[in-house]
Formats: sequence, structure tokens, C-alpha cells
Amino acid sequence: MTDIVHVENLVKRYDDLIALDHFSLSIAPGEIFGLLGPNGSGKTTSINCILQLLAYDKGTIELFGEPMTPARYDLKRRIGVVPQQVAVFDELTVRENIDYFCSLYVNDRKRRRALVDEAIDFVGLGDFTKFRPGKLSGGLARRLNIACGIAHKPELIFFDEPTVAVDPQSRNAILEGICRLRDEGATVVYTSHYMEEVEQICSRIMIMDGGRVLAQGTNDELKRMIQMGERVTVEVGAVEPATVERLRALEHVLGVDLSGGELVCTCETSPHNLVDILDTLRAADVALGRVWSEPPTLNDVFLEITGRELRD
Amino acid sequence: MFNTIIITVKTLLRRPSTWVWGAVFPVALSTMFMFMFANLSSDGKVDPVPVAVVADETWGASSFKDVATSLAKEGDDQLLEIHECEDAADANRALKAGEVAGIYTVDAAGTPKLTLLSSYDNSRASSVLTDRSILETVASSYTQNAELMSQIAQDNPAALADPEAVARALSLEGGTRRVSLTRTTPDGTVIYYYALFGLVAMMSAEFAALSVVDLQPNLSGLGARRCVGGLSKTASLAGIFVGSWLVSFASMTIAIGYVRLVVGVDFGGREGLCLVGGAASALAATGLGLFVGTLPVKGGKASKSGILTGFATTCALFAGLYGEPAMALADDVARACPAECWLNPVKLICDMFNRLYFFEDLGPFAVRAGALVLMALVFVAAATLIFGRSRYEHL
Repeated sequence: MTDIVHVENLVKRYDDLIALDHFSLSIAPGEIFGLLGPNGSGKTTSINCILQLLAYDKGTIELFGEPMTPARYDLKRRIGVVPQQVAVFDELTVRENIDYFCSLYVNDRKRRRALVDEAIDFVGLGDFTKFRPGKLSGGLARRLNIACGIAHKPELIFFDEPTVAVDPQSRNAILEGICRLRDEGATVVYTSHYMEEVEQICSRIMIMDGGRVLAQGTNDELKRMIQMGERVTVEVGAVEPATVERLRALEHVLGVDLSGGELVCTCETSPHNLVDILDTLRAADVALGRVWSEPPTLNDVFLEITGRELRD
Repeated sequence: MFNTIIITVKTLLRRPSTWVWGAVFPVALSTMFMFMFANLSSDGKVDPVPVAVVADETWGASSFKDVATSLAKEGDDQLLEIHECEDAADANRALKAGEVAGIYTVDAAGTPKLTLLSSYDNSRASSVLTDRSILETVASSYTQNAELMSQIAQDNPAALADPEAVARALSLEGGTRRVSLTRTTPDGTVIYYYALFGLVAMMSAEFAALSVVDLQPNLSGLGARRCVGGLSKTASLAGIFVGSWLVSFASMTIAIGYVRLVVGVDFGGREGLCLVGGAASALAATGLGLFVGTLPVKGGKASKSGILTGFATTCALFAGLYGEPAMALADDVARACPAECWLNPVKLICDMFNRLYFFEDLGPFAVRAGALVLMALVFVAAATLIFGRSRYEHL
């Protein structure tokens, strides 16, 4: 099956800074593809290049199996874009804004009216159709931003950090909406620096940093790429430095961090990690509280690959 | 594209700045001009000059009395206001009191004499000197005509038998024939209103410029979003051009309508053609706005607005909008560099309306309207070229 998005060896420089360093990407139809990386990692730049907003130095971009150029309006009509910032007309009402952006793709007024109504229902702005954006709350404005990008029922939708500065309730509504779009047949490219969101909705994930692709695959595939298999956390009383050293010396323990009465041990995959850690602590007469074990997160993946936190 | 036109009009009409520059500004400036020129018109009108006469027998028997009395008849052309005094002392008192500008007396030979004060109030110098000039002209004209009649009586007594010939000889126009080179009587104030139309049009260039900023990815998120849409750049630009032109033309219509209907400036029955001129002016302004809007300058809306305001006000200076010294400067510049009249859009608009008002022939008006349309086409072509080729290195 033809990839919906196919990018090869994309290079984009800002003077001496390399924003995209031989960036390659393939997205199959029906995917929600996550671009994950910290601010400045090249997520938005890559999308802007794909959409032909930015000139690039090298590489090829194909959408729907055809080369993408600035004048390929036939391809642009099949795409929807939800930018990072709320980009709508302040002077127009909710309905007028959605209708205008829909008109960039759909000429027929009757059909457009139906599409606009559908988009309004989809984002739940039915009670606010006559409001201007300035009168909407941050979450509602984000929903308007989304409605403007999806009203024309695009086959491929780019969501560029749509949940930044959004309350948890609106964030959940947005994520659910994106999954519904996927269910209706759209392919979604979703950029974020919130790993939990990407883990929650994306079928495949690409981790970027410094304009380079660090890793890509499904959530599980990415987690399997790293040494860490689980994180064991124990609520503890006073712990001697010698005990911490003994924990570090355990066979499958990769690292130990003690702070605020919580001892966190990152470990390779092994069936005895928990037992070995608790035995060591008991042997040192350390008072124990709650104990729990978690699988690695995408942040752990990022941390292990780059040596720093995703949100640094 | 049709929807882009509608949206451009809607967004412009919902911005307060559009109403300020498109409606309040022309109305306020026209009103200001109206009050300024109202004073100027009343200054230009000659009020009857008060003059004292000593109503003695000599005065009563002189033919100068008939002349003075006819000039003092009430009406639009009343020149004198005669104060009859019983004697010279009474007349002198009125003169010293400032009740009259001078005293006419007639000597035994019937020759009029004018008595004036040797000094006067310097603060009223302009009106005092005008009044004196009028009184002197009346007296000296009478003396010259009397001399002429006595000369004719000596040289060709038969000519005095023809009353028409006598009337012609005595008339102020004499043997000259008045010919009007313009279709209306020249009014020095209308040119300021025409220059104002030019400024109003150029200020409305901002409508297109600010609308285009909302189409540029490097200047606004909205621009980026619109540029990834399915409508071509050319179609978007065309939609913005037409929408902005409609609003600009509406602004010109308000200005023309207000100046005609409220201020009362006469357009010589060519109101319809004035609107055609307004449409051409709006076209040139919108083209300019589109061009400046697409220029790759830093600073976004503020800098583009600044460029246009600076350009419009400078052009208005060279169209003479800011008063008599500016008008003199504009004339000097136009004489020294005639091309300026065609390159300065405010001046071109001013000249276009001027020719529509004064000239019977519509050719000069049409040529200037055509020049404005041409100007618009050049600007639009340049804007399309710049915008079409723009790809962004940074967003």
C-alpha cells in the first residue's frame, strides 16, 4: 500500500544550525503517527517543510504517492492542518471562521454548510457558533482551531501540538476526537512533547532531537529498544550511602536515585528485581513503605538515548 | 475566491481602524476644511463700504450723487453704504469715530473729493485698506468717465446720441468681452477637497496591506494556515484585492458624498463621474496597499502601516493639501518636475477631480483616471510577482 507521507533525507539549515538532518519518514494510511521530541527538536520544521511552507535544502517529499511542491493545490486539498497556535480570524464568528477555512477546499455552499455543521458538532461548539474567538476560553478556542482544520474532511491531518496550554478536560476531548478521525479513515500526524499523549493515541512514534530521528516504531518496539525493563520505586526511611552502593551493585540494576523518601531503581528486564532490591534494603534495616513497579515510559526511552529528560 | 472577497470585506468592516480611516477621517477633515473655508469665503465677499457724504446743495446737484446712490442700492453687488451728514463737521466726527471709511464731497465743478484719516488701526489694516481702495476706485472711475464724456462731446458730439454707445463707454467692462475658459467659476477652495480625496484614497491603501499580512506565513499563523489551504496564492491575493477595493471605494463614496451633500461643494452636476473617479482612486490605492503588504519588510502590520501613512502624507504635501504654502510648493514642484503630477497618486487624484470640475472636455479626466488604473495594474502585478515567488526560510 502506498505511503500517505513519504519523506527522504530532508535537510533544512538555518545558517549554521541544522534544523533537519537527513530526516526520513514514512506514514501508512490510517495511522496516527506521533512525532515526539523536546521544543526545538525539529517537529514543526519538518511539518512546515512537508506542507511546503518552508524552503528546504535537500531531500524529497511525497504525499499520497506524488511529489509535493508549493503549487500542488490538488494535494493540499486533501490535507488538513491544525497549527500549534490558534490561527483564526478574530473578527469572524466561530461559524464564519470554520466556513471560511472549509471554503479553501470546498466550493459548493450546500455541501460546505453540512460539513461546517458536522465540524461544529464534532468539536462541541454548538452553543458558541456566534461567538468571536476572543470571547472563547482557551480550550474552546483550541477546539475552534481544530474544527477549522478538519471541517473539509481531509484524508491526512497534521496536528501540531494541539494540546499546549489546554486544561485536562479539553485535552481528553481533543485526543478522543483525534482517535475518532482516525476511525473515520483519516491518517493523522501528531506532534507533541507530551509523551503520555503520544503513548495514548499513536500507533507509531518517532522520537526526534536536534533535527535527527533518534528512534521510531510502535510504543512497545521503542521500549524494547532500551536496556531498561522496569522501574522499581520504594518508599523508605533513612538509607545509608553504603546501602545505595550495594543496590547499584545488584546484577540487573542500572541506576539508583534517592530523593524525598523515595528510592527509584531502574532495572533491566529480570524476574527477580523486586525481590533482590527488597532483600538488600531489609538486610540494611531500612524502614519500608509502599513498593511498586512500572514499565519504562517514552521519557525513559528518550533519557536512555539522549542522556537527558524529554522536557529539558 | 468569492468567499475570500466576502471574508476580506467582513474582517475589514469589523476592524475599528477601518472606520477611523475610512469614514471618520474623511468626514472630520472635510468638516475642518468646511469651517476653514467658510471664513475664507466671507473674507473674500465685499461688504458695502460705509462712506459719509455732506448732503448739501452741491452734492444734491452733482451727477456723482447718482453714481454713488446706484452703487449703494441693496443687493448682492452693493458696494457702498451712504451715511448722509448735515455738514462737514458731522461727517468728520463719523470718520474719526470709525463709523465710515471716508467722506465724499463734491466741489463746485462737480468733481468728487475723498477724505480719509491719516492714520488707522493697524490690526484692521487689511479691511481698512480694502475699503479705501474701493472708495478711491469709485471716485477715480467717475472722474475718468466724466473726462471721457467731455472728450467725446468735444470730438464726436453725434456719438452721444447713441445711448448704447454711451452705456458701453461708461461700463466697467468697457470694450472688453468676458470669456470663461472653464465650465465653472474657479473656486480656490475646491482643490483642497480634491487633494483630500487623494489623501483619503491613499490612507485606504492600508486596508489591502493589512489584509495581505494575514496571508503571509512569515507574518502570522493565520497566514501560514491560509497558505497551506487548497486555494492558490493568486486567487487568495485576487480575493483580497477585490474585497479591499470594495471597502476603499466605500470610503471614497463616503468622502465624496459628505463633501457634496453636507459641506456643499459643487461638483458641477458630475456626481456620477466623481464616483467613477473615486473608484479609480480606490483601485490605485488598493494596488499600492497590496504591493506594500507583500513587500518583505520586517515588523509586520505596524511597519507596513507606517510605510503607507508616511507615503500618503508626503504625497499629500506635494499635492498642496496642507494650506497655501504647501499648495505653492506643490505648484513649484509640478512646474519643475511635471512627471511628479503623474507619479504622485494624491496629486494625480487631485488633478483628476480638478479637471472633471473645471473642464468641459472629459478627456483630461479620463486620461488621469486611466493613469490611476494603470498604476493599480503595475502595483498588482508587482505584488503578485513578489508574493507568488516568496518561499520562506524562517517562519
